[in-house]
Amino acid sequence: MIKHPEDISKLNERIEEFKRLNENGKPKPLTNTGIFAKGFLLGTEFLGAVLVGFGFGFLLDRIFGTKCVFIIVMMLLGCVSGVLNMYRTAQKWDSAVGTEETNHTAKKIKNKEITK
Amino acid sequence: MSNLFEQFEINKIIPVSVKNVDLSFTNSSLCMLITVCVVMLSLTLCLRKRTVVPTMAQAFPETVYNLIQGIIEETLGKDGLKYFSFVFALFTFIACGNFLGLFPYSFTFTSHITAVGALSVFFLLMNTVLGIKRRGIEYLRTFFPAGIPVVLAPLIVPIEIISNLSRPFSLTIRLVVNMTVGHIILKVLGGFVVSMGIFGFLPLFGDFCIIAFEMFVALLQAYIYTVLSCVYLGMAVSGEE
Repeated sequence: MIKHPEDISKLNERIEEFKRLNENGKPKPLTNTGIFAKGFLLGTEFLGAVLVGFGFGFLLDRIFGTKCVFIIVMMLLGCVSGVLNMYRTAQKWDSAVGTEETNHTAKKIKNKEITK
Repeated sequence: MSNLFEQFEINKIIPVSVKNVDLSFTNSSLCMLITVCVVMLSLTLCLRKRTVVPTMAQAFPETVYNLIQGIIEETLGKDGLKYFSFVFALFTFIACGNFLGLFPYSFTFTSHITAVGALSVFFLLMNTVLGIKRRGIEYLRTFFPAGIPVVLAPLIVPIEIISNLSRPFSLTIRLVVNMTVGHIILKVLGGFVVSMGIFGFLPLFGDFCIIAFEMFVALLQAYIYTVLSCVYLGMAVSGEE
């Protein structure tokens, strides 16, 4: 098969463009593991934060001699930071909430809806 | 069926006690020592004859090298390659430890919260020290990111502190739970092979499949542990969330 000379001359440009896109483009996926592994990963992120919150609360309760005020407050804060951890981890994946790509896609859909 | 958790029991091999502090050499320590020896020996033997076109033996450490290099460049950038030796040691130690634990009469030290937790806490301390060294007082911004109203400080600071401290916990739980569950399933199915008599080949086949899956999990968990450690290190050093 004879290739068109224009294609070959443009090949180098295309390679350069591809390299540039790969360097500055969307974030690469963190892991290519299955959906269960990802779910488990996020679950442990949440659990870890709740446990640390509980530990902090338990320590503070013992120090100040309170019954369970700090455990409740710190566990709630632990839940919040667990969700924050999950969000930060998921952000590193493609098509996850909050990544540039999804924001971009969401904007596109919104624009389409407006034009309709 | 014998006790499911018998395989995770720590036995003293050489009892040592200094001022009521137990410093005994246990089966866990022995397995860690064997892991280090296996990693060092295999790398030395594989790289004995170094050629430009790698042989099969040479290709193995080179693949691991490329994998770790890829992880570091992806998470820390080119600048992060100075931590290469540490990350390489971390990955090979955990991967080999997970893998050796699958052998009969062996011991999986990665199924113990104390062993993996100590490693993760060490990593947290290292992140903090490196973060302070690189960014100075600016490191405290980790606990109160820029652009947040000062009024929210009493809420944000504890949340960020818990978020920062929970990282070694989540790393530890993830690895330990995966290893423990896999080994328990293997033992349960192994028990069924004997108790089901003539139909014992069914759980035996299941065991065979689980062993293959566990090999995959052993490497995958070591990979995830290493990637996330690098991500956390990158967060501490660069300050980006």
